[in-house]
Amino acid sequence: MEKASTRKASLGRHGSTVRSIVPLLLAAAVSVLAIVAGPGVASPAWAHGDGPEGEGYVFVLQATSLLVNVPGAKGTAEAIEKVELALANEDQDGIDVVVLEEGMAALEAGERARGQILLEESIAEALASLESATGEETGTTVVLPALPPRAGLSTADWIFLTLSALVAAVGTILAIRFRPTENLRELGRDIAAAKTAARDANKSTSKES
Amino acid sequence: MPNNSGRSAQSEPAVLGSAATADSDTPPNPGWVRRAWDVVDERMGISALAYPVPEHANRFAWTLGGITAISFALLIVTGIVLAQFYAPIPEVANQSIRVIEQDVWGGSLIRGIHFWASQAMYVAAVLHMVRVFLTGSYKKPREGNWLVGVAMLGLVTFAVFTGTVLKWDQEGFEALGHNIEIGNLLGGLGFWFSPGFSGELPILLRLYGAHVVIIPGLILVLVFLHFLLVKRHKMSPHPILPRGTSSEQAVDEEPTQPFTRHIRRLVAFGIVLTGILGMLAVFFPAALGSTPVEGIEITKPPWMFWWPFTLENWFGLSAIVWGELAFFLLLALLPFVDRNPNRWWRRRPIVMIVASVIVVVLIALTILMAITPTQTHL
Repeated sequence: MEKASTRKASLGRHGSTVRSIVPLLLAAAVSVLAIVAGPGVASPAWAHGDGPEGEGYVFVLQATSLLVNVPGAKGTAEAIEKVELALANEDQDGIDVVVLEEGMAALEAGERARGQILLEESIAEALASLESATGEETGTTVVLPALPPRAGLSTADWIFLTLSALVAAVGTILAIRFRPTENLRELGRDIAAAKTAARDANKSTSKES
Repeated sequence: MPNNSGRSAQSEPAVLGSAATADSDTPPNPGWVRRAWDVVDERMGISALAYPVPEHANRFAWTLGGITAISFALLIVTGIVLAQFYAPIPEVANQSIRVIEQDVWGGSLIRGIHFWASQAMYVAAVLHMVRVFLTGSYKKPREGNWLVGVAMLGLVTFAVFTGTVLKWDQEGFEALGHNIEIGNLLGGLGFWFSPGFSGELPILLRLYGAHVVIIPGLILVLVFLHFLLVKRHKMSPHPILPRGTSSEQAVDEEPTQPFTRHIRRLVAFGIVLTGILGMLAVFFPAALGSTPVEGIEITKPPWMFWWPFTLENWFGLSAIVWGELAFFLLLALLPFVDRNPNRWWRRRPIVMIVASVIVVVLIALTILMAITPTQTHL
């Protein structure tokens, strides 16, 4: 009983500690929010939105990416829209408009591969003049396609696969070997029996005394 | 702690012998291995890990937290290897991953394990929280540890996000674009996501620093605190086992096992996990998309972000912030709102109904994202 009451007292102390810490944590969080959010009120507009989005070559890069990523006529149509935006854009620095128009004609004729090459050629000068990327700039000068899926399993793959399967099997055997011997129902029965035995022992002890 | 099955920490030969019992148990001329062990143990106190824990803690559901920790360890090991070859510079980041995939011996497999371990860590962490929720293990006196767990889930989510950006493909860049815009919405709070915060550096470099130092470092600190609190409060009781005088601890009559037994079973699960991740890495290698281009949206984020992105499709960008904020706020408030003293889920109908509704909504939003074509938001 003494042990139980000591433990209860200890837990009670702990519970009150948790309760007293929570308001402190909340107060600290609010303070941090206030400190950090404060400058935001007066902070200038973010750089995002003022950058190269208005630059013509970016539209051509977008068109190239759409050709690389969106298959079929949908991709071609979306790419053509982007090229039209580039051609209509005031900022055409570094764009070879003649080559770009050729690229657009190729796309309209359904020649995707040739159109993509021409699009890339048309902005070569703009890309060559780019400085090192900072902030959120992509640094992309060539739109590489997604990494193709593995064609098949190499010898190294097979070796690794076999080793992995072996490791998983060994782990499974160990996990089964180390599993608890009783299920929860049996464990519950054991605990109930132990509690009854302890109660009986207590009763007999109190009778003797 | 008394027990009735003869399988207590004291009666069972300890996996790691203790210096205290060594004097009485060891033969007069112990072997050199035992002597060496005793020398190390006397100085490092490793046998202190053999403290008793209730037997129910060896159930699979009670090892999910440990499996999360093992996934984290695998992430650190594979991450260290990947860091030797990855270049966090926008111009070459995507290309450096292609080099890892195609030119570095075993690079594709290591990256595959890293990717799948991140998925395993996220899933194991969520399942661990579900177990803690269902068994009411977040209740007094473990509210603080629940908050630590919620913070860790937030960090794991952030780690998945930064890892996605580090690929520096179209998917990663679009994820970054969303976060920058969310940073804008948050005003000063989102300063860290502003590219202008340290304008001379690419934001990729800062996210790399976060991914390899800040986030794992914080997780490590919280893991340590989490373990300390588990040790302090002891393993939570199993709600379907008979109760004692206190509902906060396992009943005294429950048999115990040394904690080293718990670790032993955990290591076995860790070995299984490693094998499974290896097989997944071979059959389903981690993807890498095209080099990024700004101003277009043609990809979907990783699956764990699908539900807030459905909200974004409906209500705009700010819905991501409010959705995530509401989700984590609900998790954080749970122990303080649910005052029902019962721990077994069947005796907590209100909180179970509310939680079920939330889970169904999250799953529905996730499925909706899966079947909805990509939309342009930014």
